[in-house]
Amino acid sequence: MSEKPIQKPEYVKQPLTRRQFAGRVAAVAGLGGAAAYLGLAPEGWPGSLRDTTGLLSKPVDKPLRINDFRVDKPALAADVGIGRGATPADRLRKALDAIGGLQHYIKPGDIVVVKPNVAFDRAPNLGATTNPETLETLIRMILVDCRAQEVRVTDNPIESPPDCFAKSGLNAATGKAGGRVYLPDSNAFRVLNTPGAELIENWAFLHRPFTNADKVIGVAPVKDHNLCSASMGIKNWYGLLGGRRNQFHQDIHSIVSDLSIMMRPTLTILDGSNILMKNGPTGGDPSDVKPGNCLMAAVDPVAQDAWAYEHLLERGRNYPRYLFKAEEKGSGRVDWQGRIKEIA
Amino acid sequence: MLRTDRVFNRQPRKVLRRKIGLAETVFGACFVLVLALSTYWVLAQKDNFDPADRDISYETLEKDSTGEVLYETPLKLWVEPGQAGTAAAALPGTGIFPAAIVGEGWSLKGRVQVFDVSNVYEKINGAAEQYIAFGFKALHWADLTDGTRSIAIELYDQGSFPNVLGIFAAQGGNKRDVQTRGDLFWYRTSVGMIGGYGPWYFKIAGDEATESVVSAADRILAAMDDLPSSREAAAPLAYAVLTRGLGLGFGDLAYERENVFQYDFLSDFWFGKVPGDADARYFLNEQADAAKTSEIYERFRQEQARDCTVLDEGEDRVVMQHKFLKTIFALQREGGMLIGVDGAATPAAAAGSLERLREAVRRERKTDPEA
Amino acid sequence: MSDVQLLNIEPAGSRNPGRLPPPPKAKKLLRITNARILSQIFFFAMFVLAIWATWTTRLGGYPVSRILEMDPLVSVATALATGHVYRFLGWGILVLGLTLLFGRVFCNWICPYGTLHQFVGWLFNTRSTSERWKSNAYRPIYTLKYLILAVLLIMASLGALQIGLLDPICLMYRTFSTAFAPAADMVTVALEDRLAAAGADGVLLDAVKFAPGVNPRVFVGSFWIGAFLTTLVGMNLIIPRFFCRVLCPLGAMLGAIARFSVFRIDRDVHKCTDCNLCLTRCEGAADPQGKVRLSECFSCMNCIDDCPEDALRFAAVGLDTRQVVPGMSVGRRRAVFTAMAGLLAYPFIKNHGVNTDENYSPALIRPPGSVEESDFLAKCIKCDQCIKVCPTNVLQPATFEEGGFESLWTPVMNFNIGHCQLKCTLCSEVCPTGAIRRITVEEKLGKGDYAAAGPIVLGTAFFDLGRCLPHSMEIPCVVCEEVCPVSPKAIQTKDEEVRNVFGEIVLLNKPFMVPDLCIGCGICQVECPVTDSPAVYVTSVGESRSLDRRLLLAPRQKRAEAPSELMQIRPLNRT
Repeated sequence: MSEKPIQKPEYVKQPLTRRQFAGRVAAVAGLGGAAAYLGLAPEGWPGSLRDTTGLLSKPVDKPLRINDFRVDKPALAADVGIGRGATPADRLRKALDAIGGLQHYIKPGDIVVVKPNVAFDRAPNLGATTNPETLETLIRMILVDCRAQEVRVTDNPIESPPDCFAKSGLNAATGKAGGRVYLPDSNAFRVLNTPGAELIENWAFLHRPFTNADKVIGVAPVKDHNLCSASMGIKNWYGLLGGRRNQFHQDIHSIVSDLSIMMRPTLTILDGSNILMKNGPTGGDPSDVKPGNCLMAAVDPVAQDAWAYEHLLERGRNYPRYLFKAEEKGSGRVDWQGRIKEIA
Repeated sequence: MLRTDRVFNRQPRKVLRRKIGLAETVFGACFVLVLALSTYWVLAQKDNFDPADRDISYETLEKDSTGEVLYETPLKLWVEPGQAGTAAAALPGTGIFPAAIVGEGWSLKGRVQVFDVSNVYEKINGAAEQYIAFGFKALHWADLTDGTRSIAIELYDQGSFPNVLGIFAAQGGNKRDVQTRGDLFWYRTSVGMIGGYGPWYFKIAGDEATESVVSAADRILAAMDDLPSSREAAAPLAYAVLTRGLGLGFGDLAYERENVFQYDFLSDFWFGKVPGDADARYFLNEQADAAKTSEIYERFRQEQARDCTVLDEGEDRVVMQHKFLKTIFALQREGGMLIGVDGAATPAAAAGSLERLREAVRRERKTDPEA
Repeated sequence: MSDVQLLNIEPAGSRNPGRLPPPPKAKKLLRITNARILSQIFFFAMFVLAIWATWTTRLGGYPVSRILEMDPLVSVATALATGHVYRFLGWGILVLGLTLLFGRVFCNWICPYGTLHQFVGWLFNTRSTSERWKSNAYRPIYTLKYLILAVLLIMASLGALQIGLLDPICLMYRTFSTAFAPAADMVTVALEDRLAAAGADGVLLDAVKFAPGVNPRVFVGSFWIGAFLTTLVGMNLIIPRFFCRVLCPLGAMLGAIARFSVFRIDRDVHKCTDCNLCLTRCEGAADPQGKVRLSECFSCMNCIDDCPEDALRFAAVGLDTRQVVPGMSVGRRRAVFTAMAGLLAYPFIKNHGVNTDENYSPALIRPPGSVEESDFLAKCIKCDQCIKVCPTNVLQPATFEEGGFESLWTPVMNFNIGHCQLKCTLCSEVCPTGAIRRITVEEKLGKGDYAAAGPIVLGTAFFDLGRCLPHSMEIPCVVCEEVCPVSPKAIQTKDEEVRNVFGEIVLLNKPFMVPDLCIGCGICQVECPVTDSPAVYVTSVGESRSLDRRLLLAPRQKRAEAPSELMQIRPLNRT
């Protein structure tokens, strides 16, 4: 055995110290242990990333609940008030007085959400959207007479939101009266949970305007509708939903009755100043519209819709099925006899 | 090529020139000014958004409105297989309604809907309770249309005529201007009429108060006479006596089912206001046989004698005066009927009224031998 | 060219006692290069403002298309293709005038794309001084842009307008509208969510969004559009101002006339020490150190700042005519080959056969107010402003499927994403070249003066009955009829009761089309619940802008109104 000569004898090695070696082993152990923990530790343990079923990475949206915005009416007031007059302001005042006056319902400092029907970009007097004069008067009454803190106007239209708000005159009306328009941005929706609803127990809902809201008022026109016979106060809440609303038509009466429990507003106002008698709900032709002088305000939206169906749309007493389903769900009573007060 | 270790340009800007002419400086100053003014001008344009700029005027829409109404194919109803081709399938039947309700341009829309006690809530919901309290048995609902207008007919089978009168009164009917024709009675509303016939309580309501609707409603009313009406459920003799025999108006009638005169053994009494006397009223009660009538007569007489002094008494009749109220009470037995007058002012008036009543009963019995 | 690596900028001659002191701060501040930087910032900001203001609620007084209308390539090419100058395109004269006066100032003082290139190139430029000289030297490849221009102009003069693919302003508008604006909105929305979660008002940032108040916008093919621009900008790291020097057809056109400019860079040979420092930041690779190439010079004035001897000036009088290369140095061979390419390109494109009246895609549905297709292709510069302003996001850049290469990135409607809003005519307002003719709402709806012509029809809706719920599945639905915006509705129903498989009697409203009334707005397709392949869908046949692509002979009401004698059938004489 001949010894091999030492190569580069002038070179001095620098061996790994014991501390360095221990450090490396510790690092390997540490990182390895951490990785093993993250990946293999049982699901419930803190910091564990394990997911045995594959369901943990599914995004979970904690469902929202909204309040019941109803206010008890004064003892001697009617459930449904009807105001007849020449101007929207006149009719609105009379209708509200018949159910106890707006100041009974809206208290100073309230944040009020007003939900008009802005579904299409039709001109105001084509009856497809809420009358801007009515909305303006209502918002002024809320802000000035009742000294509310803020009025928020919102809707999720079927057609393009900026166009609908602009061309229906409701954007300008809200601005003039001192309210604020909340457009349906993509991130303004969250899933709403409505206990007891048949079909829309969890559905995307335009929740942003309702943060910290105290009172809710719906303002709807009276419209013919091929599928569910009429689109009036209760169906107005359809405009707060997002997602694939076009599935609703497979059982529209159940949906509308679900809407009546999803949203329990403080008041519902039906504006009969331009009644869309046919070609609803989109309208578009002046010959479809019948002008009127009636405005209804109600705490019982079921009775209100029934009376409007009979007297404003003049369809007689064969009420749409959703009214009876709504009554079954406890949203009101169809029989309006003895519960209305008309002030002309 | 580029340095691969640096990301950003770190070379400072070094201006090497020495001479900057006046023209250049003046130009620089003016240019900055022009840019500033342009910025201000552009921002001042604002969005000036006016939705009316890009819109169509209502007047134009109105002018060009055709008001066109397209033809709508009528609703095709479900026909149970096996019935296709039969007469029943050809025309949707009018159910219990007389065939005369359709015609003259009016036809049935959809089919006649029938509801019984278990499902009447589906149609009329909260109001159902009232009908059930008055002996409700079934609701037949028909919708008629002539293409533009529509009429809804609600027909309630209340089981018996008194029940019909009861619900009629409970819904405020007897305060209205009630007209009668035979056994049919009704009052008009702006879009139709509400009334009764035999065990049937009906409401005819159009959707608009136009002539076509009103005349159609009249025709339907005339057809109501043909509704099936059993003997038992028909207007009882007492009713005929009071209306036909004595000529009393509808508003003068009343019917009490139970606890009449606050006696639990008295039930099914008919009352009619005596004309000319504010407080006096006729009363009649019909029983199945004379024995029953006698029994009730005896008991009634005994009970009344507690508060009244007997003025005159016979085999079949008795006249009393109330001890405190001083009003005259007269009671008579007429075969299967108990008749009488209550609250008369004087015995003579009571006797006269009673006599009239007896006459009316006899007359009606003659015309209606089965009573 | 010296190879000495200069590590500090101060040249050796600075110790010359005859050298002047540095100029005062104020004069330095107002020097011409600073003016240029301000100008670049101003025009870039105006450009971003124009993109921001191209929105339904902001399009009021702002002249959002002005930069496009000032683009002389757009004016000249569309004038060649159509024989006319549309609406505001005459503004292109302004830039042409500027170029004739001052040379290619547009490229470095106004053009937002040039600003973007220069900024990115400057920011990431880590070259040394001599590397910079090499990168700014003139290369023969820079003649490519003239060849591209020639091909495009020859095609345009024959009627095929494809300048939009490479025109810098069109490129910028298109990429910002479809790629950058949605990206910015994504960031804004995320920020808004964080603020809302922290309790702040959720609508705070609406003014910053490019498309507020609506669902997040999507644009088909925006990946490629964004990648295209980003790649070109990224090329600045290899060759500075790559696009501007090598590809830009607008720069080429301005360069072609810059040779006649009144003002230009002039080098005083007697002062010049041949140090090459003027090349350090020359944007146009215009050889300021030698014979200045007029058609390449961007008038950026950087060379004037860099010359320590003040040998360079930007002037109009006393110019040394020997120190100029006026022409484009293209060469005869290249010119001939280019002309041939341009001439061949036209029939190749036009006979491609995917967008003729016999063979056209059902998905090629153009915006309302569009002119007839061959005219459209001679006018559309693919600026995609219409796509930006469209409030419902229905307008999308076309892919190769809808109309082949010729229609790439032109606007088409995609009714799975949105519908054409009934009373909206915004696309026609912003179109700078008239591919979408300016229309009023009256014309679109066919009312008033346009009642005889009828409404503008984009296409016709058809039913796929096998997928329609009431027709084939006994399930009630009828959303299409409900949302149809015309009165009377173009979708009517036949109502029928059936006993379904579960034993219930259901009322089915079975929809059917009335094509005489349909305007092709597409809201039925958008709202149909069978979202993957809708049971009612709109195709382009029946559009009113084209006689050859019509469906119906005449709307049936018109025929019913005026029966002619010919239509009466005389009864046979039966005796």
